[in-house]
Parts: sequence; structure tokens; C-alpha cells
Amino acid sequence: MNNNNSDDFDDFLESTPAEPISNKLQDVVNNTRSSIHQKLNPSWFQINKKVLLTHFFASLVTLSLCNQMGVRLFFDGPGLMDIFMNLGFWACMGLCGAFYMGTTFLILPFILSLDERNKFQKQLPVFISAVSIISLSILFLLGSSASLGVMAVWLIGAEIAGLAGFKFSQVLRRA
Amino acid sequence: MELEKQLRELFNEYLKSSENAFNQIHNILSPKVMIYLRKRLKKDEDIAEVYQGFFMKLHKSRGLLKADQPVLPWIYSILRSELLDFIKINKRHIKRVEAVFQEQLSQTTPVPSLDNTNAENSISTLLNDLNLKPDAIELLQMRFEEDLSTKEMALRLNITEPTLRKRLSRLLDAVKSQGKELRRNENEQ
Repeated sequence: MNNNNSDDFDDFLESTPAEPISNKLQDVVNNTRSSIHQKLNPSWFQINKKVLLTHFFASLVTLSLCNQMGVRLFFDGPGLMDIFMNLGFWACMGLCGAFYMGTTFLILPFILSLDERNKFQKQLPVFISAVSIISLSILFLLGSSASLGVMAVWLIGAEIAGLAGFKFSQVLRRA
Repeated sequence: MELEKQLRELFNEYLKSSENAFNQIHNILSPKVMIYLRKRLKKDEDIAEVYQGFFMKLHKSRGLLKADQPVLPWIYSILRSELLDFIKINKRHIKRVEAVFQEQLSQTTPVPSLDNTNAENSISTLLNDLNLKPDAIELLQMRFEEDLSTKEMALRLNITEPTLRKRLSRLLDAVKSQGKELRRNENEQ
């Protein structure tokens, strides 16, 4: 800081209330405080909207690259499933779920604001489970068929990758 | 140093969206910011605009505060930049309105030499040519014929300066688009 800035900074530090502020300014102080309180408490509607939209677009990409329980968009063939199958059937099912949900939750921290992330993070496992179950239901509506065992492994992969993806992106955002 | 340490701890909590931490930060900073701005800005409306802008920016940028960075100078830099931006925008805005209006004036009414009477006539001619609402014409007349400052204009119209700036901005767009249309018509003729 140069001398002028340093004086100005000292002036800021030493500023102490000398006279009361007008009612108009007091209203501004109160309004500002309540506006920020609102920002600290983002609505669940806004968060859910962002999560579902992100998942929708991430699904378009992941379902183009990897067959999810028989459902694939835009291209033919098993895609990434070919590579995952080399690790065995159950590993493939787990990795499919991990790839599908991991992608969404890897992107989400870049879409949500800091306050939305803070609120969302408290319910992260619940959210991953909910989005996974909604996705599975949609996959079934699109013609997929899978046993309970496959679904369970797929859900476990989705849950682990969702948690890991979100935490990893959080760290990336802070860096 | 005590305040610095206290603010650092509060900011760590504020980062986690703690409302209590924000309340304490606001209680500490609000009087300081208010006094600082009151020394530098005269009108309550201007103080209010910068004050709100500062707290919003502080809230938005709090994730950017590094762990080893002193908090108070960082807060001060946000406040100062908010204040300087406000002053710059105010000055630039007035200059822009004047420049656009003068440009329209010179392009739609070719007057070889402008003494005061001719200048006033050309402004009146332009105002007649442009299809503006009466309150917009009143604004332009106050600004260019009476040469009033924005403060004086706001006072006469009994509105705040930010409102006046918004009106001038809308008027600027109207003058621009209608000036273009006027020139197009002149070219066609």
C-alpha cells in the first residue's frame, strides 16, 4: 500500500460511530442483512432444480458413452461397458453406476453456489440415493431390465462415486 | 491484531454459511463501513448503493480469501474498489449520455456555426424531431439547456440520483435508436 492508501486504510480501521445514521440508512443496513441471510439459506427448490438439470445433461453424455443396464443413447454397442466387463460382471455393474452418478456429482460443485453447496452437502448421501433411484426408475421406463442384485451393486457404485466425485470437485474448487 | 484474529475465526465459520458468524461480522463491519462512506459520499442514496454493493461483494467473494491472507486489508480492498467503481460509473455514465446526445445533435441538425441561440435552437429542433415523451424532453432540456448537474436535476424532479441515472440510461437508448431512424429517413429522402 502507498502512503495515501495506507492513510485511507487506517481511517477505515479507526472509523467509529460518531452520530446515529438516518432512518433511511438504517433501513438499508437491515435490508442488506436480511438479503444476505436469504443468500445463506438458499431454497431447496433452486438446489433441486440445479441438481436435476445437471444430472439430465450429464446423463445425455454418460448414456452416450456407456450402456446402462441395456439403455444407451445416440450410439450403438456397449461402449465403456466393454472395458468394465474385463474386470468381471459385478465390477462392471458397480463401475457403471459409479460412472453414471460420479459424472453428475463431479460437475455439481461447479454449478452450485457456495451456500447451496454448504446446504446440499449436509444431505449429500440422501441426494445421491434419491437421484440414483429416480435414474433407475427412468432407465426401467426406457426398457432396461436388471435383477435386484445388479441394482444393489449399481447403487453402491453410484453412492461411492457420487460422494467421492462431489468431495473431489469441492477440493478442486477451493484450490 | 485482536480484531484481525476475531474476523479470521468468524470468516472461517461464515465460509460454512453460518448465519451467526455473518451477524457478528456485520455488527463489526457495518459501523466502520458506514462511517468510512459517510466521510466520502454526501448523499444517503449513494452511501446506500456502495454499502449494499460492498456487503454483497464480500459475501460473493468470501471463498476467495486465502488462509494466510490478512482479513482486514482484504475487506478494505473490496470496500475501496466498490467505492471507486461507483464513482467511475457515475462519471462515465454522465459523459456517455452527453456524448451520445451531442453526436445525435451534430448528425441530425447540420449547423455550421453555433452561437448560443443557434445551439439552443438546434437542441429544440432535435427534441422536436425525436419522438420523445414530455418527461424525457424535460430531462434533456434540464441537462443541456439549463446545464444542471444530476444532483440538481434529481432534486428538482424529487427523485433519487440512482433513479435519475436509470431514466437517463433509458433515454440514452431511445435517443440512440431514434437518432438512427431519423438519419435513415433523411438518407432515403
